[in-house]
Amino acid sequence: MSASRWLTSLALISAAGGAGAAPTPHNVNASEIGAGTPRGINWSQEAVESPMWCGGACSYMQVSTAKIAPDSLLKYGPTAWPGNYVTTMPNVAAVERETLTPAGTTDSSGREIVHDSPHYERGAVDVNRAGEFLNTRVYQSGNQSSGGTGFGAAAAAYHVKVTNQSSGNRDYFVQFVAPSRTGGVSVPYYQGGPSGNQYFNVSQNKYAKSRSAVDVLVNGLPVWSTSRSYIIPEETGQTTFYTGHPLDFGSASADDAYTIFVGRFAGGVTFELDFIVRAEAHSRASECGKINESSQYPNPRSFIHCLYVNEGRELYQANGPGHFSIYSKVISTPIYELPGGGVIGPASSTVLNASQDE
Amino acid sequence: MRNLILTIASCSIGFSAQGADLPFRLATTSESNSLTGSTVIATSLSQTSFKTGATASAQRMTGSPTSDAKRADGAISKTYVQVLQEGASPGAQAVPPAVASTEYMEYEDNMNSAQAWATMSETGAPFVQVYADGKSKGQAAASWRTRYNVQGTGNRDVYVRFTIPGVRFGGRWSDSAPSLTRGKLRVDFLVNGYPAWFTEAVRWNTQNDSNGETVRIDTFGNSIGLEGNSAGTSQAILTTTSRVITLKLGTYPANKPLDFTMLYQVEGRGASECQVEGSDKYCGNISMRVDWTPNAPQPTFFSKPAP
Repeated sequence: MSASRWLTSLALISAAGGAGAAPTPHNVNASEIGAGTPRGINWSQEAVESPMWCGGACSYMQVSTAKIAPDSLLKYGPTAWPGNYVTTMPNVAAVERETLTPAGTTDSSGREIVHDSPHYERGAVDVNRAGEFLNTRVYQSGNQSSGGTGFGAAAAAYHVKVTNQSSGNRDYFVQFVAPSRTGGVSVPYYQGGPSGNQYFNVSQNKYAKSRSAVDVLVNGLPVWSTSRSYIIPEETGQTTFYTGHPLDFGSASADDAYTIFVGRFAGGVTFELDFIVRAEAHSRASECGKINESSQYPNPRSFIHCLYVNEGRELYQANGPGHFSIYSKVISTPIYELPGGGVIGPASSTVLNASQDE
Repeated sequence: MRNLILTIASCSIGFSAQGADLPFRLATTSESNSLTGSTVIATSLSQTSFKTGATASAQRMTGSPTSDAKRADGAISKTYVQVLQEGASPGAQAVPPAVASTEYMEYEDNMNSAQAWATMSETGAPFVQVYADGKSKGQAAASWRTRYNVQGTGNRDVYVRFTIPGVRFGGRWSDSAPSLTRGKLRVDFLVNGYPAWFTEAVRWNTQNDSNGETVRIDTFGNSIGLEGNSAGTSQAILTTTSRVITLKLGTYPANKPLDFTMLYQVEGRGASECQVEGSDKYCGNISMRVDWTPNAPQPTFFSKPAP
């Protein structure tokens, strides 16, 4: 196995890791962004106050979309756009767009042809027994006859209107487990060399990129976000290199749970909260590798290995653990306005806009 | 691990539904040219009850961030923040007025430091910029949002037109303080919280075999003219000019309320500390900007009778 194939395999392992571990908790004070007014918070006091979960005071609209090349429009779910607002948290709607690799075909020697991927392109919000996922995939060049770049994209968005139905001020919080990134890359390879048993990456001119992101907005400004792009740089000539570069922005989302204080809102006030998860994958790499099983095998197969780019995010069932939820409390935190306009209060346990460093 | 992918993919088959098409798309030239005349009702942003917001954050990697946010109803929101390792303040302020060349930090004076600006004007004109020297980072975001009630009677075709200002991605590479820098731009136009139109670009560098830098820009979503730089360039500064976007948002009954949000975000950071050699100082830099174009036409919503 070549070094670069090992590297990409390791990237895949890393991306899939973390499942099952207890998420690392983070408290974030984003009150200044959320409400426009900074407010200190004593997280110890917050922890002992009883939450008022957002029931009928929250109205939700959810839409999921999927797209592959060369679609011009987005497929969406649920069944109507724009949907009606509902007062219980809806689950994400399932939607998918895909093109399939051929199945049940044989080569000229009668070997069954087996592709690494059942799809050339796929963009989907999947809801199934394994859970809920945002999945985007491109295999080879998405089987684009023009030789262009294959593409898959998916998104799930919640638009929420939150009303403080109390007569007085209340402090609002959003709580969720960060949708962790799923996906990775497999490179095209074949078997050959003097021994016939060495693995080589396919030499070709290629370009692949993917990215997934999660954003939480309050009244149109971001109070929390995370994003990862993964780039196999565009080339001007043929090489056997498939080195990828991860580019991370925003907060950690590998195995992390967040409680975000979005600010104090007065009685009767309505604010908007958006929770947007999206992913997309692109690949242009038309050449694949092939490994044939010996014709002396019973039912020999021919395995096709193309560049395979996956990008997605794990989602959580509505009203279940990990899914975002909204609650309010009344935290009596003293605020001291400084003459210069600054604010001091009990120390927060968090850093606003904390980012991952590579 | 390849098997893991295949397993997940196989599990999903047969459980997902394929929906209908969302109506969002770029308007054709013919459609765009049709948005005049007595049957078309044009509503500018300022004719609605709109709100603006701006937030900025700057941070030395070894310190806490300095952040600020402003919000306003039908008026400008603007903010500026900075964190300086040392030296005199450049005296910058929130935009407007436009940033003067003297308002940028001097790395010889300020070393590992960052500046961030965010403005959303009362006419929907944004300005977001981060300027980060050495090991530091900045973020800036500016938005407007409004509720638009579809104008007219009967079923109406709804369009939106907005101007995306030019952008400028820049950086400085120093052989004596090589630094991997990362920048991101994203612009979202949301309809009921869904990104009906977006563009995103990441600017990133690697150290090349000559110990210089290779800069790449990779893009996602709609084009604003940054393509063609994904194979790498030694050109540190890349710019675009402004462009007008017209979107068809679909057909809706009159008086249907739609929530619109336009959000501009930039972010930039450098990974390595500035270096001092004798009396000389060296710092890498990254800057990400959406230009200030206050005279651009306001975002405008159009309603015309559906055929």
